[in-house]
Amino acid sequence: MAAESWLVWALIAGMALVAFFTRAIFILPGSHLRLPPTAERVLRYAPAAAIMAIIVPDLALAHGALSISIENPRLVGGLVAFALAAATRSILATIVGGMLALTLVRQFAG
Amino acid sequence: MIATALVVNLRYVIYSAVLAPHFEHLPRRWRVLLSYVTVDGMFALFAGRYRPDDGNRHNHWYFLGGSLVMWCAWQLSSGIGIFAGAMIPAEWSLEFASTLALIALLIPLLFDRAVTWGAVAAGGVALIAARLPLNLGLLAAIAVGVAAGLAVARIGPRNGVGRV
Repeated sequence: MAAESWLVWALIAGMALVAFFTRAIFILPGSHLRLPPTAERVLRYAPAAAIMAIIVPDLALAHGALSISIENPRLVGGLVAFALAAATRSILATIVGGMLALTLVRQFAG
Repeated sequence: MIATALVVNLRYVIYSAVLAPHFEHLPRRWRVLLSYVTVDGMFALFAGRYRPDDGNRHNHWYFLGGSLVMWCAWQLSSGIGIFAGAMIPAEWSLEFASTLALIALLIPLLFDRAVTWGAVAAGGVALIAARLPLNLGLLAAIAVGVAAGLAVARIGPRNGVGRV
């Protein structure tokens, strides 16, 4: 445990540096530094792709195996959340509705 | 883990490029401070309210004020999570709320066909490549997602070729 604690701190420090410098990269130089057009086009698609790539495995994998079933609580909760987010644009409604769906499927399918 | 942090923070590179012309007249310590406090919500409010050419030289106070409110809420909820999180039963799956919050953040980002198809492609690859070590599956998913988005923008009708 003690041997690993430096690694935890190093990871936190590394992630903090990444978080700071991605924000500061254009604000800090202050000059008229601009993104080249190619980079701008790539960055246009990266955020949505990144978030979707984090979400999908969390919904559709159960213990590392693909689980596309109405009895998979995370999948049902996630789909309900997608529908609510598209319909209401409310973060609170999305989270509450998704958690409710997760709990219901757990109660009745588990 | 560092690679994951880089990837989820990539959007801030875009925010940084958008914000830079607003703040370039400010002293360096201001620019360090404003870089540090930048978050999604404040960026969206600020970008909706000010344009770089509107000549407003005091809009950094608006940005700082809103950011500090969000900063306090962030630190407070993180603290509650660290000290009281263990009291919440694991079977509530409260960590699932963070995935749900990402879903809520994702929907407004899907503003055109190309971005949406890029994201769908990324989700599919993330599923297939989930077993790769070192989060390489995530990086592969983003690479394919970006390529798919660029391809759809090229072949599709020009309804999605505007700037972000």
